[in-house]
Amino acid sequence: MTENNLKKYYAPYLSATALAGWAIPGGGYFLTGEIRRGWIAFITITATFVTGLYVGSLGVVDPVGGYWWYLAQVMTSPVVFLIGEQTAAGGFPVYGKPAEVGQIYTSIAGMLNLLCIVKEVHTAHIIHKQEKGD
Amino acid sequence: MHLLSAFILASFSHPIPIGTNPASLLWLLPLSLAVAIIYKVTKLSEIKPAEFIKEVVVLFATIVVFMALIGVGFIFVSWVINL
Repeated sequence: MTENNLKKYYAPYLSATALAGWAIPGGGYFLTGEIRRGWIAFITITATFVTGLYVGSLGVVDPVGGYWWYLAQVMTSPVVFLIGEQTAAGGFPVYGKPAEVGQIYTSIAGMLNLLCIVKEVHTAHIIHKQEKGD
Repeated sequence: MHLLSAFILASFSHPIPIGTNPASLLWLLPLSLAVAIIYKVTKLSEIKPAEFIKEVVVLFATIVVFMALIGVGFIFVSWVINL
């Protein structure tokens, strides 16, 4: 299914856009043809998430002790599930102010990506309407 | 290559030292910048570099200034309570 064909099918196009946006931050923008927007979103969200991990260690992704933070972090990318698997056993030290800053950075990165996903899906919806000539 | 990978991994396995002092509030700045950038990415109808940078700088400054004002407000409230 080419990109142009994909745009004709409403549900698959919107789902693919949302999934692309989740798989790679800003990915949905690439699928809707907004390359510049996609790169800015990708670089900003990835940098925010990686900064959070650097500050607090990989241990800030904690599916056991920091479940609610983890739900927000997971919105950054499915890669967070893999990090969560590694850190669930508690092998990475995390404490104090760095933990707080790291958790905030990584969770905000997830929430920002969620905002991008919503906007990407909306853009896909508009493009689909234009393709149909509504 | 292995040495580089090991170095990168090691960088993410321990927290960096951040004190609980006023300087730690500076960590607010990069986060505010990220929020301003993403908000403007989703909001602007067209991304033109000059206009985009201007909008981001204005939003970033607005966030920082209002956070500072809220901080001042809290200091005032705490001062009133302790009178």
